[in-house]
Order: sequence, then structure tokens, then C-alpha cells
Amino acid sequence: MTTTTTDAPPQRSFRLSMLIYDTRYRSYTFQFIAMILVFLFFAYLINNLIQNLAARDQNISFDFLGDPAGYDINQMLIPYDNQMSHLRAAFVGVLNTLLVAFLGCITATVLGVIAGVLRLSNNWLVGKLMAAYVEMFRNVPVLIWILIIFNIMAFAMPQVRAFRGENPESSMLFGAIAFTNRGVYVPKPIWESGSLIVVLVFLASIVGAIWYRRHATKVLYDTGRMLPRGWPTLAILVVPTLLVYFVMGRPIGLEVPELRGFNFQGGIQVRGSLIALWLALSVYTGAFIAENVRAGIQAISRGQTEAAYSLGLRPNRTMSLIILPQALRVIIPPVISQYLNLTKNSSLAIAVGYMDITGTLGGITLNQSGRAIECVLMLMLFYLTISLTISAVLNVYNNAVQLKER
Amino acid sequence: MSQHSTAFVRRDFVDSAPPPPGETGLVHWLRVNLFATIPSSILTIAAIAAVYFLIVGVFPWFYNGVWQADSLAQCQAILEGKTGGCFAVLTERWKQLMFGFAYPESAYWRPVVAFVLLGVALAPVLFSNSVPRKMLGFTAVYPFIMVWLLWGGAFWLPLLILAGFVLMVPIYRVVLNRFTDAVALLSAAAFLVLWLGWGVSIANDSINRIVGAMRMDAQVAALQQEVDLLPGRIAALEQEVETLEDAIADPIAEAEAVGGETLRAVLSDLAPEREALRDRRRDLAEANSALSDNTTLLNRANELPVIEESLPVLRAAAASLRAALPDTVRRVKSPEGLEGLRNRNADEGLGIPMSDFRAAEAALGAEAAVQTAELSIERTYADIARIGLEPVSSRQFGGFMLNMILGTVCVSLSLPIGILLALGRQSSMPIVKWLCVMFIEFVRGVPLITLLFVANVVLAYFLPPEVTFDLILRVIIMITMFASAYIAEVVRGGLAALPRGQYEAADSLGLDYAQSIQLIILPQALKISIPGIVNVAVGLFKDTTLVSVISMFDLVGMIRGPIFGSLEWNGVYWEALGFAAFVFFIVCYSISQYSQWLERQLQTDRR
Repeated sequence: MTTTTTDAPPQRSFRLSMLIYDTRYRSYTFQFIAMILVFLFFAYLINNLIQNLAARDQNISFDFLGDPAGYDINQMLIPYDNQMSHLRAAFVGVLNTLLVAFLGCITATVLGVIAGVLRLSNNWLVGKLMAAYVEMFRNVPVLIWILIIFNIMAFAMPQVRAFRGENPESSMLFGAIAFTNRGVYVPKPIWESGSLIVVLVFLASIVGAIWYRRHATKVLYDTGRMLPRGWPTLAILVVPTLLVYFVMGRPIGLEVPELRGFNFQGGIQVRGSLIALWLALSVYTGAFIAENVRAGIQAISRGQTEAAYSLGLRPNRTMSLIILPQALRVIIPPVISQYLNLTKNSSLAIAVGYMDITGTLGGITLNQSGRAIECVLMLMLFYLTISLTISAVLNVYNNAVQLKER
Repeated sequence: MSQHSTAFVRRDFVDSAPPPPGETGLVHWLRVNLFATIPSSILTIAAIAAVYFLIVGVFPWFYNGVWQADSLAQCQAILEGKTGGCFAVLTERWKQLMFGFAYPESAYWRPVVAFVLLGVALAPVLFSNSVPRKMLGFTAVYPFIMVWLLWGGAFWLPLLILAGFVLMVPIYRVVLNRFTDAVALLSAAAFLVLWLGWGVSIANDSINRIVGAMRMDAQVAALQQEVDLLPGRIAALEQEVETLEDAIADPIAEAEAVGGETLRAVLSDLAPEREALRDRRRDLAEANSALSDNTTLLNRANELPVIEESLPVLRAAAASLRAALPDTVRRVKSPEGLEGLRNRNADEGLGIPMSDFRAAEAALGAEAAVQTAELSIERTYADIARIGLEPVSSRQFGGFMLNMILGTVCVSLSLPIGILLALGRQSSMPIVKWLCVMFIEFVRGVPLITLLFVANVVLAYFLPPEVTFDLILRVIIMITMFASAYIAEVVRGGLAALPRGQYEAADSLGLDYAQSIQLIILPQALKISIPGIVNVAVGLFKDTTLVSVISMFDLVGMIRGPIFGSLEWNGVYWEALGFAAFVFFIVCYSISQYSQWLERQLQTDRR
């Protein structure tokens, strides 16, 4: 009996049916079909677009961005008037968006960290209060908070005329800050000659303070001798700057808002819409950040605290040396995505008339020029750029702090 | 044997002594929980002060609150300068806040029933341990019931749509006998698309024609009778309204002059009469609109034979005019296009003679006439044939009902899409994977408002000219897109959390992709991601308030628009917005509590 053996498995020629039945090829078929379907879908959309544009005798063009905008913006960080282009108006809006997002992120972080840490405190009442804050703000739409605070600013604040007269009904806080229904008037810094030197000295003392702290750490690690950290840092920050400030003859002054005629003159007017948006976004996002902070601290196992205590560390040092460095690794990524949410939520500015990018480009420019597709496209691209940038930063950070276990 | 000589050996236990005073009871609790350290004590005192001022500020506002009044002015007259909320806006505008100002009051029961049934349909999903699985059958048909209840219309329309889904099963089976499962699935899906795209409307039109022709005479007679009766009823209602107005006008005017608690007492005494007046006014408005609707329909039904006869003539005229158009204007299909072309002709000097424009105008006019006639015939038959609920257009939706509709519809639609996207993102096929990644990252990168702008002003450009989606449908599409991207990320987390061994075990059992996903992967992955999905649902429900920005009248939109804008209630900010916050808090807080409960349930059975 002889058996015939072959060296190689039988060669099977490729058949068309293998595109469906053979798992090796089936994925190609699927992807091909998926691609065709997507292409068909987009072709359908674009065909409709062309037909609709032709029927309305319109076209897609970004030329309108160069036309004069013709509308005023009540808050601008760069010079702007209504004869400038739509593009300039959009840019003013971009800066306003970034302004409120920046302010909001800072206050939200402060609120969130305080609330998150206090919620874990041993104090029953404070813990419950913070829980109430978090639940109250997390479970109500941010739009409602924006509207509520906006209405406080617009209707519960005294009118400007309440500040007038011999015995005014309202008075300015510290004689410098006026809360009115037109917004809050705060003093404006006046930069006279020589103020540059003061600023430079201040920057230099920041560098000095950082250097001192590093030095203290190095001494600690090298010799075990612990240098004081708190008051020298404060001294380095404050003393030289104050000295230079007085030596230069007090070059930085404050322009206090004053009631002249029917309105306050001088100072900076912070509009109610900005305050409403800023505060509402801060307290809303702060509630979420508080939860992230709490989760991050709770993620550190109890054993770490106990180990620190058994080494003889005091509670505050345990927190700053053992718990926080580990918790931050857990806390920071979700907090950064909360910043992203805050930035996206700042588009609700349109509900209170704060002129951010959604209010200028997506609001008045869109309505005036009738260029809906172009405006919405640019709006989306702006937000997309911001969020992709923040995501990229987040990825870099995550890679940097990842535990390198193996 | 050694002898111990001990003086004393205790043979029984000492009774445990009570803890020292200060280590038990309230004092101990206070010391440990409120005054443990000096900073803690300072915090406690600060917290107590904060709570005190909050209560002192808010309590009189509630305590003096006015619940019965017709306007802010009356509220202020009652309060006489005291602090107090004007909650009368809530009682007075309750129906508007809940249902919007355009939803017919006689149909209020429909959304209520729809949401009660929603609870029934959700029960087997939410409480899978205690509710029998058989109820899932009801969950499957519920969407059709909900759509029918909310939008109304003839009862056969939802059945026709349901039939499409039901018919997918035999088609899948038949194709599966000859080809693979993928082909079978694709052909079933293709059938569904064709059925929803064309089949339903053709079938619906034919049913309307047949039933309409059968019911024509009876309906016309009934309509005629109603049209004859309604004026009498309207007159009676007007009389009733006038009597009621007279009855309450004087006492209220007298009390208003006095103000204070007198006014409060008079207004609450007259509450039944004022309620009756509101109801009669509503009845009157509904009778008036019924009269005009029925008269219109009656006229249309009477004209129907004439229009049907003239339709072929109109069509022939339009076709011949269109054929005779010169090339210069042939491309123009709409009046706006013609207007644009005319402007360009003037601006750029295209040299198109005026006569061409006149010809195009004539052709467009004839085509419009044909369309009007066709539409009128179709609508008349549909109106005559309708056996079912009175139709309500989505434009009439509003109030908290709109938030609930958007929330539930979008979350339930986005779940399957989100799961598919997550599977696609995990897929080994690069093209599919990158399509999903691009979609998810794009949607997550832009604020919902921009997507709502798309729904409001841009989406119409991308749909065929003859298709007109109403705004609510466009908004549902965009919010669903938005939610599905977020759900996809949550589900992806669940998929990634599954140990690799589960995938490999499924493969080694010889399960194909669909089977392993369906039987092994998804049940586990979804279980892990349920809390995340609930979070997305809460976030989405809160985000439904954003539709007020594109001038839809949801709860917040009602408050910002009709209530803040009305003469009576202009100036009532806290009460209305606070109520909205309260309503959302109740719903969202209970959902998040449910999610935590579910998390605990899932945790226990994993251990």
C-alpha cells in the first residue's frame, strides 16, 4: 500500500465566491462595500447641495468675510468697529470665547478642588453641604444656571441711578467696585513709565522663588536638612517687587470708576452677560471637577495613608507628599476633559447675548450674510481645532505620567 | 500536683462599664463630626452661618408665596412690598410649561399616556431582575405606539412601518437559505430602507384613497352637520365666558383696590370660577378652530371632483410650457432661483431677454398649480379617510413634554448606533475603523449648539429639494448623532475592559464574529458600561434645553419666550427658572440615583 504525500497543501485557486465565504477576503469585501456606501451617501448629499444651491442661485464662497460687518460688539479685547470685516468680528468673538473659557477654567478648578476635598472631610455638615452643591449643579442644565445668574445681574442689581445723590441707596464696594444692572465696574490699572521694570522684577522674583524651592528640595535630598519653604517663597515674591514699586515712585495706578452723568466712567465694565456665563460655567463645571477630585483621592488605597502615618508623617504632609502626587495622575485627565466641556458649553453665550464666536460668526454674521453653510463650517472647525489641541495635550500628559510598571 | 495559693481568682466576667460621658450620644457625635479640630470647627460655624442666611433669605419667599393671581401686578398688590415669590405664574401657565402653547388641550391625555406607557416599556430594561422578560415584547412595539400617540394620524401608518420591520425576518430567513448571514442581513436592511423610503408612502396613499372614497359621503354629511351646529355652540360659549368674566371682574377689581391679604383671599375664593373661565376660553378657541378647520375640509371635499377632473389638463399645460422654455432659463426650478438669475442678469449682464423670464414664470406658475392640486387631493383624501387620532404637527410640541420626547427618542435611537460605532472603532478593518473614529471625534469635538445650527439652517441644503423635514425631526437627527458618539465612547470603554481571553475563548469555540459579539462580548461589555450610558443619558436630557436657542419652545424656551415676553408675567424670573431647575433636578437626580443603584446591583453579582 502506498500513500502519496505532497509537500505543500493543495493550491486552491481564487474564486469569486471566496470574497463572501472566505474570512481572509471577506473583510475586504465589507470594507469595499462600506466605502462605496459612504461615497454614495456623500455623493448624494453633495448632489443635493449643488441642486439646492442652483435652485436658490447661491454658491459657496468665503468672500463675505471681507465685507464690512456692520454690527457692533459690546465687548472686545482688540479694537473693532462696525466698519471692519466679518472676519475681524469673528476674531473678536474667538477672543471672547477664549477669555470666558480661560476665566471659567480657573474658577472652576478652584471651586472644584475645594468642594472635592471638603466633601471628603471628616466634618459631617461641610461634607453634606458640598454634596448638596455638587448634586444641585450637576443635575440642572447649565443653560438654566446661565439664565438664572444673568437675571440676577440684570434685575437684582441696583440701577446706576441708585448710586447718585447725597445719600445714595447703593454704594461702591471698597469705594472702587460698583455692582450695577449694567454690569460690574472695576478699577482699571494704569501703566505709567517705569511700570515695565516693576513687572520685570516681579517676573524675576517668580523665577527666584521657583529656584529657591528647588534648592530647598535638593538640600533636603542631599543632607536631610529641611529648609523652610513657605515664608521665604512669599518674601522673595513680594519684597523686591514692593521695593521697586516704591523706589520707582508708584508707576502703576488704578483708575477707579466714577459716576459721571448717567453712567460710570473710567474703570473696566464687566458686563452682566460675561459674569453670568463665567460664574454659571464655573459653578457647573466646578461640580463635575469636585467629583473628579473626590474620585481621584478615593482611588488612592487606604494603605498609602496608613503607610505614611506609620512612617510618622503628619496628616498634611501625608496629603501633600503621598496622596496628592498619586491622586493627580488620576484627577488631571478627566479635569482636562472638563475644561474641554466648559469651552464647548461657553457657546451657550448666545442665550445671554455675550458676543463669543457663536454670537458673532454663528449669530449675527450668519443672519446678515445668509451664508449658513460657510459660517457653521467655520464655527465647527474652530471648536474642533480647540478640542483636538486639548486632546493632544492630554495624550502627551497621559504618556508622561503613565506608571512605567514594566 | 502543684498547689497554687492565689488570693483571688475571678470566676465571672465583669459587666462592661458604660462608656465615659462625652464618648457617646449627641455630644460625642458633635465633637467627632463637627468640632474635631479648630479648622473643622471654623468650617462648621461658617457652614451653619451660610445655611442660616440661606434659610432666612429663602423661607419668607416661599412662605409668603402667592399661588393664585392673574398677573405679576396682582402678586405685587397681594405682597404689598413683602418678600414673596409669585408662584401664580406656575399655576396659571402650568399647561403651557408642560405641553407648550400650541398642543391641543383635548389631546393632552396622549402624551401623558405615552409617558406612562414609556415607564411600562422601560421597566423590563431597567429592572431586569424583577420584571418578567416577556414584557420586552411590549418594549419592542412601544416606539410605534408612542409615535402614534404623540403625532396622531391614521392608525394604519404606524402599522405599515411596523410591518416593514416584521417583514425583515422572513426576508432574512429566505436569503439565509441560499447565501451567508451577511448577505441576508444586508438584503433585509435594503428592504427596510426601500420600504420606509417608498413602500410606506405608496401604501398609505392607496389606503387613504380607498378608505377616503368609501367614507366620503358619510364624512361630508357628518362635517356638514358639525359645521351647522358649531356656530350655536360658539355663541353659547361666548355667552358663558362673558357671564363668568362679569361675575369675577367686580370682586377682583374691588379687592385689587384694597390689596394685601384681602386680594389673596378673594383670588383663592374665586379660583374655581377663574379655572372655569380659563376652560371656557380654551373651549371657545377650540370650537372656533374646529369650525374653521371643518369648513375648510368641507369645502375641499366638495371641490374634490372638480380638482380631480382638472388635474390632467393642468399637467398637460405645465408640461407643454416647460418644454417650450428657452435654454437660458430651463435650469431654473424654483421662484427663488428665478429671482437669483434675474438679479445676476441685471448685475452681470447675461443678456437674457425679459420674455424668457416671463415664460419661465408662467411655467413655474403652472407647475406650482399642478403641485397644489395634487397636494390638495392627497390631503383631502387623507383627512377624510383618517380613522385614528387627530394629527398634531411637531411644530405644536412644546414645554417639558418636548424635553422628554427629545430625551427619550434620542437616547433610544443613539444606543444601537453608538454600539455599532463602538464595534466599528474596535474593528480590525482599517477603513471601517477610521470612518468610525472620524465620526466620533468630529461629533465629540464640536458643541451641541453648532449641530443644532446645522439642523436649523444647514441640513435643508443637503436634503433633496422636494423633501421637507420638520425642525423637530432634524433636531432629533442631530441630537441622536451627538449622543451616539458619546455612547460609542462609553461602550468602547466597556469593550476594552473585557479581558482579551473572552474574545479568544469565543473564537476557540468556533463562534463567528456576529455570534461572539452577540453572545459573549456585548452582554458583558454593556453590563460594564451601563453606568456610563446612564450618565450620557442624563447629560443629553439636560442638553435638550439647548433647543430653546434655535427658537423651539421647550420648558426653558417657553419660559424665555412666551412667559418672559407676556404682559402679565414680564418680570417673574426666579419662580419660572427655579421651577425649571427643580423639574430637571428631580428627573436627573432620580436617574443618577438609579444608576448608582444599578452599579451596586451589578457589583454584588460579580463578587
